[in-house]
Amino acid sequence: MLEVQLSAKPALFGAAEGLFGTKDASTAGIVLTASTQSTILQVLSPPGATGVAEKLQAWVGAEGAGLRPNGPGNWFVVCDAQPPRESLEALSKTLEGRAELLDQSHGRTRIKVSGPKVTQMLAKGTAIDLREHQFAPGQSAPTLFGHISAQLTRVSPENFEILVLSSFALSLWDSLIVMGREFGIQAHC
Amino acid sequence: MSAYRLSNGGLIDRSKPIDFKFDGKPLQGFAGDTLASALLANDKLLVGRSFKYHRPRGLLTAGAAEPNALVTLGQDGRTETNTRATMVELHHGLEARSQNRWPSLDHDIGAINGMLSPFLGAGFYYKTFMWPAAFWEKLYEPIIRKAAGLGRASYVPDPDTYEKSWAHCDLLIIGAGPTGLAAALTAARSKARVILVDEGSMLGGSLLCETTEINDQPAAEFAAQAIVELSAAENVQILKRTTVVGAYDDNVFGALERVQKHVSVIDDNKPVERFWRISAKQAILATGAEERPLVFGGNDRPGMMMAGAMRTYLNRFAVAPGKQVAIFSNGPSGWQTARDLEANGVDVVAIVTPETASNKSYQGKARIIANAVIAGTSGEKRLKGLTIRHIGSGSEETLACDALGMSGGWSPIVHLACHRGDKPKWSDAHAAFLPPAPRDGLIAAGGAAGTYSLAACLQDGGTLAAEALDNLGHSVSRAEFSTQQDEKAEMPAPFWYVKAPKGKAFVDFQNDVHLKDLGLAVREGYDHVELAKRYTTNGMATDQGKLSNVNAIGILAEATGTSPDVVGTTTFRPFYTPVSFGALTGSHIGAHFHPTRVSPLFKWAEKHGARFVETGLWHRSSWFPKEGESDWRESVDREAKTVRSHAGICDVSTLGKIEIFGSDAAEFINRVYCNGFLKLPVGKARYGLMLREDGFIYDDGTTSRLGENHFFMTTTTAFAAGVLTHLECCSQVLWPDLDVRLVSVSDQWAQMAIAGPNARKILAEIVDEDISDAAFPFLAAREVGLSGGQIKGRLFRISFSGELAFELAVPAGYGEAVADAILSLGEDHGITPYGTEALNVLRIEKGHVTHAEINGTVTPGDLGFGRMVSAKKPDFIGRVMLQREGLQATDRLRLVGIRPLDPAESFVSGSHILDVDAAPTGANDLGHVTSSCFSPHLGHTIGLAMVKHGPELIGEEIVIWNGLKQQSIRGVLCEPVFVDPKGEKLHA
Repeated sequence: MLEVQLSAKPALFGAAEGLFGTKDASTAGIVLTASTQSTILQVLSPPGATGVAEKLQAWVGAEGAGLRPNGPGNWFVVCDAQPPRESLEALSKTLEGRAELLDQSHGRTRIKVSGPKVTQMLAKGTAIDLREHQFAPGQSAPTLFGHISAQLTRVSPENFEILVLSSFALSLWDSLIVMGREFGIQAHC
Repeated sequence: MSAYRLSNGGLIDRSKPIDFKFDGKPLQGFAGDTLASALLANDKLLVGRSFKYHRPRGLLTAGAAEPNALVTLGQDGRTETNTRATMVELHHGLEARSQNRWPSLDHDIGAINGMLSPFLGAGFYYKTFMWPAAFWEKLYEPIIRKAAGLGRASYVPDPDTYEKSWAHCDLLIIGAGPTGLAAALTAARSKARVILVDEGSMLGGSLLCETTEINDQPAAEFAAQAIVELSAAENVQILKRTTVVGAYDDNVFGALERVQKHVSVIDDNKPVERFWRISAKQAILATGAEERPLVFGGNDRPGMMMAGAMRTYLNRFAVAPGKQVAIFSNGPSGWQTARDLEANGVDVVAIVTPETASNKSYQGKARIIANAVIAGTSGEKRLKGLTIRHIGSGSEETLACDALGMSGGWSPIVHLACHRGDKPKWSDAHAAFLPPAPRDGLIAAGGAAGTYSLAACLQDGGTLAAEALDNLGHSVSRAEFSTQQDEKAEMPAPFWYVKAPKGKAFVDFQNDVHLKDLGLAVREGYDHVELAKRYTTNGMATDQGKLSNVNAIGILAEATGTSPDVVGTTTFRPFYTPVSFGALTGSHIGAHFHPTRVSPLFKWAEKHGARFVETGLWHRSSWFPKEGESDWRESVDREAKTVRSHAGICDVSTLGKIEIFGSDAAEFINRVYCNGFLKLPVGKARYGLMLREDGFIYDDGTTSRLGENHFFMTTTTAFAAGVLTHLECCSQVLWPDLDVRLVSVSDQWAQMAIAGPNARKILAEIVDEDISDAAFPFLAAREVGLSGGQIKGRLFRISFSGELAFELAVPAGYGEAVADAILSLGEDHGITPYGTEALNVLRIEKGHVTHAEINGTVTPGDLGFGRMVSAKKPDFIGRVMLQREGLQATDRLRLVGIRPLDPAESFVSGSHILDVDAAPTGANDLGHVTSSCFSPHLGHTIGLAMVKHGPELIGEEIVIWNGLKQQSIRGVLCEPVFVDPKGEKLHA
């Protein structure tokens, strides 16, 4: 058997980067960041399963990860980096018999959007009411950005995260840059 | 000279002159002008030619309803036709051109239509150009289109960008005139989120045009101060230069913002227009009222305009409309105009009114001619005089003047309240149609509700805003304002038209519909308001009858002896004013027309020189030309042959992939496929045929059992989303009792087919586990390690090509690395990348079907899969309906192979199958070719066909008829498997 070194390329490999609509990074109203090292897990539980959300909440709290409710009995767990194997095993064990745990790290791409103009920019894509009392930090919802389906989460008042099917990531990335140009946008992936 | 700029006053900035051009002639205006006010200040009374008769026309209004002053702006891709000069903000370098005239606005040959007008009444075209029928398209229509027109669009692409955006609010206030401002000032006191929208560049609406006072301030100053206050309020968002154009269900409003239509240099980073979708919990319609023209002989000469428009030009833009101005007014508006004109030193020669008494509050110098009408006018390109007729005596007199302000009363602007189908209601007391009852929190206020006095509008706006907020749980007190004593705004009875007019009395200015046209419509039986509209074109075109509809209704009512209430209005539909296609399209043009889905192996394929084909949103690699190959067929033949002789690798990542979990997963899958899945062993894949409820095949694919309660289903590329939706419906609606969970993992895996006699040897170099035939037999499906456990993948021994083949799925990000490794490891084994074209050749050679065959009208039996349909299962989707007589009939189209009798000849998909002796007509059709290709292995064209009694006719000679090209060749029906019919290679 030959020695072959296998390395992964994220879906946004080679995507457009830099400043758009401004020449000065300090004036950019929007910062777009591809979170390419993320681990993304999908959790599916049957109707009536109890305690799943609580157990997930406890795990993400301990790991510094994020929980994104996607539908009834359906969550995404997002981590900025690969969590330790033992921790993942512990999660898997906790959920055993209650829910399935599925790796979607390659199937979904995580894009972070932030900046003082972020809600104005996102309103060009989503019909979600982004006023803070309507869509508070921690809230998450599936929505459409133009023609592309995605999961939008408010991480903090001016920080949002978009989870999108990886095959659509490049298209969405380009659209986000178009939407953000008016405010000056800095994109890095 | 008649119109001129006043030396002081107005809301223009005389320190900022602006150069612009009209029909190539350099002119000057000031900052704060509209194109219309600047033209009027330059005494350009003639601004357009009418649609049908090419009559000289001037400005009729100062706002959104303008029917006459339609101009073309910009050049090339920025050409914008039918722009209302009244709505264009003057800016440096603005170039406007008049329309519908040749060779020039002053000397227009088309004006000959005016002389022919006795023949050109309503319905003229329909009656006259009846025969010969062929002439209509070739002669009449082109001539008519050339003679009548509204500007010419450009064929050059628009260089600017457009976009859409959402907005959400508790209270939407539409219009920032006195009512809207009062509502907004009240709402600003609350914590509710408020959006105030106005179409103007300056907020204030009529306050900018009137000489009245609020809170002891001139109205315009009050408006300016209100805007400062509202801009400082955190809960208020102001959208100016924005027209709310449509009202939709759930209180969603469409609004067009002109972001960069008033600037000389476009900023590429911003859109020129933005289309808003505003979702509001409550909305106040403060759109005001439209002044109605009067219908009398010669009422369209340049120099005549609405009395309210005259006040706007005078008070806001400091332009006097003429030197000797006459007024023709039913109601108080004309009297106010006379007062304002005289206050600015303009001579008012007469005030003519059909009312019997003078307006008591008027103290000016003008001669008052009550109980009289204007019967006719004189002047060509500008008004010269009037013929005044005294109603009592019938006597007439003439009067010289150079401008006329007219007012026939007011019509509330109720459009948005009617877009959801509600009809406005006629009110005799208001002499107007009033808005329908409030609906879903949308309520009309002020002028839009028939309230005309300033004090009442301010009060109405404040009260309704406080009520709307109260409904949302925000209690505020109403903002209060003090005003001068208003003139009592009592409306006289409507005055629809002057009888026996001298010359044409226009009702619809934009479409040249005059009084006689409506009379003709009634006489010919088109007296229903909707029919009269179509017959005469009254209320059509870009202004949609903003000025003409109510007058036409009044005229129809009088002609039919009924009331406007009985006649009713035509249907109100979005948009209130025109919206560009650019704004509706938003950013979805060019590369952003639709999203592109990128396969995880796209870059790998691109790197190896692939040509791509658009398949839905995907770009799939279709072939990989090598140096020296000049023709796609050459590459495809080589790829197909290499796969059969050595090995090939192909991107199949676009197939739909669905993970299915649950203790009832096997039962679930057993019910959605027509063949059995309950006993599929763990570690095995099976081909499945999914039917629709009606018994026809929906989709096909393989499903593998990865664990007792864990399956992995693949679908076709085209039906990936549809199958998942179908399965979700089955799970959630049909069988909610089954324990099943579904999730799409289409994007998680890069999947590649490795096919050919050397496939195993190549894969064995990268797969950690034993994949010999014994260890990994046909239809095996398991998780495997790759390259010494570096990553985990899923390996399936399935084959679409008919060769010894595997499909390998790896986490998407590793796709390129793994595919490259396989290409490199396979180099010595003669591997080639191949695309969808070669894949198609390989599958046709094996008689494998795709959606070319499964087109929604075929059953399993039609494709020779009849025995796959389980007879043992108690139920599955499609079971009952599949038993229908028609679906079991023996003469159905059935799958068969087809080849040309002479191998040198070829045929294409879509060709029809005929009996040898049959005439080439559809009536003799026996079936058709569904798939075809050149088979490099057989050296001739082959195909799959759906033919009546097909399998029973194998060996028969037939005719393959291409009806489009009228070509027929002889062919032979054969078995649909052309290569390796025993499947020996598959099981090697």
